[in-house]
Amino acid sequence: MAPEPSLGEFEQFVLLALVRLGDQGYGVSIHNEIVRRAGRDVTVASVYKTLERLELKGFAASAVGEPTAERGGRRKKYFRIQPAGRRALAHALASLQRMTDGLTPDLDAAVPADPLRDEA
Amino acid sequence: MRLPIAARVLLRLTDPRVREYLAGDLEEAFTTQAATDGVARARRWSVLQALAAAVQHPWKPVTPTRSIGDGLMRTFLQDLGFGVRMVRRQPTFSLVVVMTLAMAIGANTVIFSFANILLLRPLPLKDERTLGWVFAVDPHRGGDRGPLSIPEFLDYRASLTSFESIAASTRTSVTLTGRGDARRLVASRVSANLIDMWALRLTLGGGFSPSADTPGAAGEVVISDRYWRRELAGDPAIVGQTMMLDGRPSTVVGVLAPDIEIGNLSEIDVWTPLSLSPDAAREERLLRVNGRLKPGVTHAQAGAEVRQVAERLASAHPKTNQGWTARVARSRDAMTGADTPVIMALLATVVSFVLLLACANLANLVLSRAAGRRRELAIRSALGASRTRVIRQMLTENLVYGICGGIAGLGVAAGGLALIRAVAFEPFFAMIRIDRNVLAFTGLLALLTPMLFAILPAVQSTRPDAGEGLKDGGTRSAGGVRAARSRSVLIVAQLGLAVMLLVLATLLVQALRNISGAPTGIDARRLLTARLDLPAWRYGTPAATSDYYEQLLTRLQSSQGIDAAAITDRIPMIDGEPISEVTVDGRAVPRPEDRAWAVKSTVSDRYFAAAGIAVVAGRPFSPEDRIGRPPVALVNQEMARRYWGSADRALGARFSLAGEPLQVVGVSADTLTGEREAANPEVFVSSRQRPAKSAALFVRASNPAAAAPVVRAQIRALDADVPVSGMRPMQEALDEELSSSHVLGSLFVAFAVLALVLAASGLYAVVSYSASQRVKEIGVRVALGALPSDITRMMLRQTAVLVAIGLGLGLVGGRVLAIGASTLLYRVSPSDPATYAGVAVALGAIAFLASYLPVRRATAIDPVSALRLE
Repeated sequence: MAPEPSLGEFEQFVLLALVRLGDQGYGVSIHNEIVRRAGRDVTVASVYKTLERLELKGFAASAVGEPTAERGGRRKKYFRIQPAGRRALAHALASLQRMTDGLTPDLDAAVPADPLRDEA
Repeated sequence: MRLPIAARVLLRLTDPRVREYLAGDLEEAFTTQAATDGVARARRWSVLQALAAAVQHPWKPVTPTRSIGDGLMRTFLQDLGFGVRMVRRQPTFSLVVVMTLAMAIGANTVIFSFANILLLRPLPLKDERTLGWVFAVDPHRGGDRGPLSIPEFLDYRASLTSFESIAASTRTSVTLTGRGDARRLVASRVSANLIDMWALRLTLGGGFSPSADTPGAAGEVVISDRYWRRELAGDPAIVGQTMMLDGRPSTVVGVLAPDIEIGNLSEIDVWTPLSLSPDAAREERLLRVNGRLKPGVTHAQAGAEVRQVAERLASAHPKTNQGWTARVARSRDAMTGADTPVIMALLATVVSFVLLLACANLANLVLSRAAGRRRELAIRSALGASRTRVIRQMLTENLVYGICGGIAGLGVAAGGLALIRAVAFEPFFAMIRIDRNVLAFTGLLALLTPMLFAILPAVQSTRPDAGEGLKDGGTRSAGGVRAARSRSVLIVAQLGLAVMLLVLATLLVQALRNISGAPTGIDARRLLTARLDLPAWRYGTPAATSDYYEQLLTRLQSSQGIDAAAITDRIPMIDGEPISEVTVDGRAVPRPEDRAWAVKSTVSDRYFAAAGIAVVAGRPFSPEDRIGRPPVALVNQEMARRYWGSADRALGARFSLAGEPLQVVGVSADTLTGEREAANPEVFVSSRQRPAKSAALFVRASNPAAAAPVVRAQIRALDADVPVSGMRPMQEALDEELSSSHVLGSLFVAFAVLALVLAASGLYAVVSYSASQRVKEIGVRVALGALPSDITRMMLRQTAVLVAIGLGLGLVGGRVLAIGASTLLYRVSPSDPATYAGVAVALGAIAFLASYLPVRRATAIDPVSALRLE
């Protein structure tokens, strides 16, 4: 594995959501965080796709919870961010920060593009 | 709250390793959403989410190792996954393929759903295979699906030994009184054993008593489930109650289960027993007769016996039965019209052509694609994939298209059927739905069509010389000589099939135009019709009936907006054409088939004025033609010509109709038959001299629709107990009669247009492809001094040969198809030269356009950049 694997935008969103949610991160709550904060209309399925990838890279870890009635007796799969994930996230955010330093006035006018799909 | 079924089904398709968590998440989110955004939105959202889950986490075996499935299954799943990725990677190409398949599969599904009802779906009768239908064969008009009369039925029942039991039924109407307004009900009058013989289920009551159909038996009635629920509020205590039918008390003895309510059987409100009197008129043939064959007796054996009995009857009752014979038909034949097999065969031919065309188009597309994939395929085989393995992979990939096309095709079919149901009146179309059989058929097509359109390209592009493909730029001209030849064959076949369908559709459209535009002899546009049914207990005597009609017609004649009013016991072209024997004084009858006959109508004085039928010689009826005066008749021109030679010679002539002497006082113009064929001989007798119990009202008004309320009010004012039904302009009734033909005609046209579009787009694609492959060659030619027009001509000449061959074959094939359809071609010759010429010109023009456009684009290229292209 490369020392600092780069993170896609959506991967960053998911990791950030995991940071916010602490030990309450699972499919719906992560999805809701991203929909609410980023205003992205994403599918629960793509959240899982990304979580699978993050887990494979060692950035997140999962644990299976207890079944609950509101889920029709199905179990939850909780996800937590791992130290490697925190490092990668910090690195990505710092790079972004460095890239945007001093550019704020120019960017104000720019209309944000809409990269609905993360490339990978 | 449970997820919608669609979402749950989609979730079943997801990877089992994430399914539980995903499904749980969706259910949780669905419940929250339903509370905040409403259930409908939440449902839509959850289905989309589940769809995304099925696409992004497709089903995989839990342990993808040797332990599950054999190698074949594993590679199949691999190829399928690869196919799904290919579909998503080339959205435009995929859309074209899926749409093409959807149209073709949809068309086939629609036609199959027709056939499903006609041939496959069980009739609601017990053991329909052992039922035999006894039909009279009419010597005069050649019909072989004729009904029998009551005495004939009794004779057959007494003498036939091939049948266990034999029953009869006839459709009629009865008047219900004593429960609110007088109502006219649709009734099926049946022999008492019919319900048992068909093993119809009763939900209440025990059915008719065995002697209910003997003359003088007490009235009994069995009601349909629909009528019982709708009009009697599902009264559980209905059995034993009395209904006044035609003024006669009838005890309710049962309620039929709804199983029988399909097609036109669903219109029946009540089932009442026939009165099987041996003294009934032998020439009054109204009964549809069918019987249960004894075990081991075939339809052919029963048919032979029925013919013997018919011969005996002919010699015993020469007056009514001479020349008549009978036959036995199977249930399926009995239920369909005489033209149905021809129509179904044609429709099936046409839609299978559409499917072939679509497959040819797709084969072409896949072939051009495959040429672009030569490198990929070459690498696969270089890495050790066997040829069969590569072919299998390509077939599996295209299976994905087949499945998508099948699903979309079901949608197309459902839409098409909904449209057909909306415009057609025939109950047949209301019976059509997408059931298990239809789904199975569509599924089969979805799996088979990819084999059809992918096998040729797959075999073609994996030929062993594929080593060529590894070389960079090794595309050669147009993907090899073999591929080019395959494409030419496909194009010729496509054009040929499209031409055949165009020829057929054009001929059918002309036939339809002829049939709707044929001058019927009646001024239907200004005619309002309605049926009146005088309750027998109030108008029991001829004088009372006569009196009622007299008063009603007088009232109507003096109403505003009404030009003429009349009654008739038979609405021409709509009602059946019961024929009566005619004896013309002094006319020789050397052979039985030369016996004179005519269709009889009983009409009132102003009938001819109201219907707009000209009286070409003599006079119409007058008030002087009443009971007590010599009985008189009008005949139509056809009858005058046939039996007396001319209208003038017929005037004053004497003849007898079913034994009653009459004198011709007038000759009327001809009207077409219900089949829109040339007129039958017709006799009109005066309703003053022979009053009819039930009659149709003819009202001539400049605006028939506006006259309807006036007519209704007059009838009510005269006697509110007389039920009126079916009031509508005659034109509307005629249009309705033809609505099924129009539906079928439109289907043929739609399929032909679809075929044309497919063929034209196929041609376009092939020419563009070959032009794009030849860019370099064109560049060289232009550089050497060829003019764009020279190149255009050269390329068009090559396509012109293909078009000419396709057109020629298609015209010949079209003629074969047209001859098969000749019974449907009303007043159109199956070899009508204008049609063939027109189709040839139209197709030529479209083919020219489809090839000229891509050629022009190719010649517009700059030679320098063309040469540099590598």
